[in-house]
Amino acid sequence: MNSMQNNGDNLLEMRDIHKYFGSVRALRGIDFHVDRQEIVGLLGDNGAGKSTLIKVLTGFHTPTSGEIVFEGESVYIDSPHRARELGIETVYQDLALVPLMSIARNFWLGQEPTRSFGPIKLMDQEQMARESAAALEDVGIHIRDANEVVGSMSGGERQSIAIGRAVYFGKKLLILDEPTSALSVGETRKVLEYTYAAKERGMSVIFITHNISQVHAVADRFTIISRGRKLGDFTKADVSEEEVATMVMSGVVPERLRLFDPEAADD
Amino acid sequence: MLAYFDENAGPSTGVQLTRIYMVLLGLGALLVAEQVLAGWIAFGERVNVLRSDINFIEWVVIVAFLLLALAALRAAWSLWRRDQAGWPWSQWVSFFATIIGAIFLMKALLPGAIAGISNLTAPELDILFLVIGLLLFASGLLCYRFVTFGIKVFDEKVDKAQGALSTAVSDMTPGQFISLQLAQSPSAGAIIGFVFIFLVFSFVTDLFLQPTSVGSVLTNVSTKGIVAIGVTILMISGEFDLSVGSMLGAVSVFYMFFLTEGIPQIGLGAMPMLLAMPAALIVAMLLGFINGIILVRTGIPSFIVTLGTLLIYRTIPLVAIPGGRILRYRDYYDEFPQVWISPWVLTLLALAGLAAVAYVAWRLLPGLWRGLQFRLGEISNAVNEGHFKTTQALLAGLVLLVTALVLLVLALWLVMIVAFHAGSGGELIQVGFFDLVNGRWGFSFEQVTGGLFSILIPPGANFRNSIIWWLLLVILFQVVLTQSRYGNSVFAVGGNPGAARAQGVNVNRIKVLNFMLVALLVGVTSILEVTRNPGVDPLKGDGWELEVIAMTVIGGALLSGGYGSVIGTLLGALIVGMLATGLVIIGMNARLFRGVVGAITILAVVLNTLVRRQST
Repeated sequence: MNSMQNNGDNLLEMRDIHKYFGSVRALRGIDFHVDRQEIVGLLGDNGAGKSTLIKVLTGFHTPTSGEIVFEGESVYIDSPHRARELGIETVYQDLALVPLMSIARNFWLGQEPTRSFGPIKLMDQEQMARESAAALEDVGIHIRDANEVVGSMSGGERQSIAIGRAVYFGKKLLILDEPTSALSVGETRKVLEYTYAAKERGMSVIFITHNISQVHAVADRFTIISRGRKLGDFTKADVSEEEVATMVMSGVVPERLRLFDPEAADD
Repeated sequence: MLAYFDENAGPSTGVQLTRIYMVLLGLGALLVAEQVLAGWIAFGERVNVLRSDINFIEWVVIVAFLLLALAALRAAWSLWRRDQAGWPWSQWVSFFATIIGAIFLMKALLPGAIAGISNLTAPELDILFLVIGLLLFASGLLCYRFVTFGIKVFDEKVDKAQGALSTAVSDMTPGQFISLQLAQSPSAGAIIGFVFIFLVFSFVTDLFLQPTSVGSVLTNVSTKGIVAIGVTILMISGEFDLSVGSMLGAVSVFYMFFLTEGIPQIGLGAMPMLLAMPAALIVAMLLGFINGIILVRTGIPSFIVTLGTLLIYRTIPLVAIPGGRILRYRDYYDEFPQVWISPWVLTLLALAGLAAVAYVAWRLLPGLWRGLQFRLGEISNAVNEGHFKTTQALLAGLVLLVTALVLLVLALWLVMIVAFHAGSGGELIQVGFFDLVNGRWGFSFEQVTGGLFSILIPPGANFRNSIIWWLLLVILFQVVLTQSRYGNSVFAVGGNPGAARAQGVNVNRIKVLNFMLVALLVGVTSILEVTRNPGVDPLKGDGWELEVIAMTVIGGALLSGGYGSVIGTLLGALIVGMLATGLVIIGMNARLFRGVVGAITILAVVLNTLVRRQST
């Protein structure tokens, strides 16, 4: 409940993050944390700063000031590569997979298993197909053929494969950037299912969206951002869907909830 | 057909017929190959007086029929064992049987229509062609229809077995099925175009299938084909290089100077020829590195970057060779460089090659061995319901080992014969260095090969070593592109740079490396071109860039990146080469060549797009 709790369960803790682009103050002292095995909905209107916050976390931007603590250790994330090393995986809507490549090749991209013929190392395509199919099956994703080209699949299936990949490679924190905004209702449900499966397997998930209805079903907690500041953290039990929607739109915390969140109250 | 997988039910009549047909076709094709080999069926004029000599066309026919026979027997084997592989094999076999049949029919019905076979006079042979052609054509077509329609039922069966319902394949007409199969290969358009253009030229003129024409196509296209390999890989990673032609000129000049006078301005003397080659390649890679680093550092589109370097690199030969002269090796030395090779070195090289082959076989053997065990186990199961016996395994292993040893000794013996043919005993063999790099078959190596090539190749035909280097490089880079981690990254970088970066692929590094790879292959080509007629002219390689990109695009690569194949580019290069030679042969104005290549390029892209659209 208390957003400032600081126990050992924290996977990620971002403290007092500021980010200025010249005179534009995109983030003005944001505290944000994610517990282990928790799905956090990061909500905010367009331009609220949620993308900037995530880009700071994934190493595309370095913060002007502030500290990032990952698994209890203060870390300096200066590149996407560093974020990946830490176990932070981002699934972007368009950037998840390569459409003209097969599922297996996409799955293993960047870390393909090889078998060596003396000094020559070739990809072990049999193993790639077999293990990717098995890994996706494990998360509940059925594919017909691991050698099928990704381009012929729907948006939801692509998201699912990207999620399954993150789970398989033992990532700790999965960031989904507007994953369901272009999907049909049925597909959205599937993606949410896989997100839940990822959580069951020990991952934490940050779900970025401006539409509360998309994450309400699976999220444990909502963090709402408005104009570079945090409005507050709210567990699902405490707020209704409508209240969250109003907060995202108006940027004002209702009287009833201010008691729980002193930080937002003194804003 | 449904009964195909049902072990208890007997096979349907259609399956039974297909089995028998495949066996008959296989044996028949073997027979034809044997008859041609033995000289009973002759094609065209004898090049040599000896009856036992086999000419070019006959080799083609023998190899084609042997392959057909092997494939047909393979299909029959699968059909008999009721495994899935039976269908695709039968399909391909019947497809090619139909085509071969069609060619034979054309020959019989339109005397003189097919090049090379037209010199036949005996009427009974025409009847033979008619009979073989008709048989092959009709039976192949029937079988193809049956097998292709069979697929529908086959897929429903498979889907049922997997518990999934896929209507994608099973609702298709045969035509759609073919286009789907083609669509899965980037070189679909190139395959169609290659077959079409090949057949057109074969039918229109007698001269096209002659060794001289084939040699001229291959030799002319091989050097451009080598550059096209690099350009294809670069295009798959989403960039392209306009500067290859200029780079070729520049590197050629550098190589020439390295070989002859050195570069006195920087205190560099003439180099030994074995040093000049790597030096030229390093210069080439430096030029490629410049292309890549400008692109990556500035973010300017590759069109602009390489347009700039196209102009810049061209100034190197223009400035270095004064007055528009042609720089010749003969201007510096009277004699072309010679190398002396010990037959022992040749033998050692051959041994190393054999060892490499043996190693790969050794690595593949466990898999093959398991397969063999499984099959033998199946047989013995049927006999006594027992498992495969250890003694039997040992026996089979022993047989394999002895066979391998015998083959090894035989191969070694052959190598020794060739290696020691020229000298008596261990004498050194003298070979022209330029001949070794890009010599002409039948002329350059007679003392090494003991006149082997001049039997096979008529005097007018111009086959050169560059063809071998080209094909080796095509195989090498096809493997790199499809089987290696690097190749996977290349596809990802072109297909979706963001996704590649998100998965930890260093996009910029791949792009720079690909520019250097193009440059390296341009370097190889420079060496081949310079040694072909030892000299450089300042406009060497002018206009290559567009022709090479045309080859790549005809080969099915997407200009936007992420899609393409080296094999496709090989076909694309062959198409361009066939046009260049074929248009001259059929008496068209050679100046039309570029226009035709242009039209074919547009056609190929349209065809590729259509075929791909069908698949998604």
